[in-house]
Amino acid sequence: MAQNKKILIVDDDPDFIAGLKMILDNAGYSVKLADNVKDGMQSLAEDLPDLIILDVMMENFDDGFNMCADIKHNEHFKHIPVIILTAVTEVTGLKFDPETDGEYLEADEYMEKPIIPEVFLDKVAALIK
Amino acid sequence: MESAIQQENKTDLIFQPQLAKIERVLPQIGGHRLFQLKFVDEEVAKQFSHLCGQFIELTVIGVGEAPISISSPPSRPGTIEICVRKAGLVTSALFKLHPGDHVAIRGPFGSGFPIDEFKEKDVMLIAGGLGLAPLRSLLLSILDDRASFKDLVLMYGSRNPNDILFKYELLGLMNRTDIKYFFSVDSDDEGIWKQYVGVVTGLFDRIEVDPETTFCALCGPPIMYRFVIQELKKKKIPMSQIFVSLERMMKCGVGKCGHCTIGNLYCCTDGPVFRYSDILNIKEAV
Repeated sequence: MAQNKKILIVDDDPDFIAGLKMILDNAGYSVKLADNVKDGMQSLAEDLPDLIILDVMMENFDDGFNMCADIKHNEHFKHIPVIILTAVTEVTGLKFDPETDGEYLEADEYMEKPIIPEVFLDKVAALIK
Repeated sequence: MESAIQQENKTDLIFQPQLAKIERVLPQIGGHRLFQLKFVDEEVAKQFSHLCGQFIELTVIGVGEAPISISSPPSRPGTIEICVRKAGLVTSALFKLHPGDHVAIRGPFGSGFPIDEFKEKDVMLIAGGLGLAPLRSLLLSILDDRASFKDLVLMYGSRNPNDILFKYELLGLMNRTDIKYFFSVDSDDEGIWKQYVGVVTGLFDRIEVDPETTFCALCGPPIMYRFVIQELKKKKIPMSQIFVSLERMMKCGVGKCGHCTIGNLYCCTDGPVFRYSDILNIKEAV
């Protein structure tokens, strides 16, 4: 089933992206990459993915949260599941949680880097079905 | 100059509660929410203007009225934001309301921070806990007109990393190079905090100020004031350049009921923002 599914990763860490892409490729997903919000939104507009994996701290500290809000308030994109995958707490000490943060964070899943591949793939599969 | 008819048609926002709609409810830390309110009557919305640090009397219809600081800046009119802690009858009832529901507002009341006096000066904002709520109005006002002020410092202390208000906005501040921010938590049992662990006064070792040009605004729990002011005195900041926002049991908002007296002053009309040099000799003030 994964063969037909498209995933967009928006993250500015090339090493992390390379590792994540390999995990998702091996699981049979078709992966597109963007290393900033602008390119990520453009990619979204050109070809709707089945899932978005979104970093938070890119050019700005809160880029990923803002992009997530833009996605979830856009009629064309809001149905696409979003996984926030971030080290923001590791870097800043600030804690974020879509379970408690309401409209501030409407991501479908929130995970801290680094990931455990098996756990991460389970989350992806659960959201993408 | 307003005509007599125009004046007569003006709504008395101080004594007549005006209907407002809850636009959004945004969760903050446990037991705290940010409510975005809009007046139903557009004329009332246009007429309403406030100063940073002022408060409103918020009515939950059929329940009662409570004084709440305005967290939004005057520079962003149209929506009133209040950060509320669920504490008593009125705030508990407010927490049961949803976007689209209505409340009523009187105000604004009291004194505000003299932001014009801060212009062309260095500004230091010092907040503890929920004290960030009224100071947010001042912080955003300064950021909205950043070029009019010199150095800007925000010091914010909370109990632990789970108790940080406006964390999404604070994360956004970290992008900016025109504000120095210092955050502290009293304790960090989870071991996740990356900045200072200790009370907010511990942050003063990290800053240098020019006492002649620095103006300070403080808001936080009562215990915080005395110790922060001691630190400001060590930095030789004149007491006339320190402004404190005090909280007392404000009820009527217009200096009639006497619930909020501080010495011979009323917190609701003379305050809640006081120039520290004006209240130096009032023992129960800070």
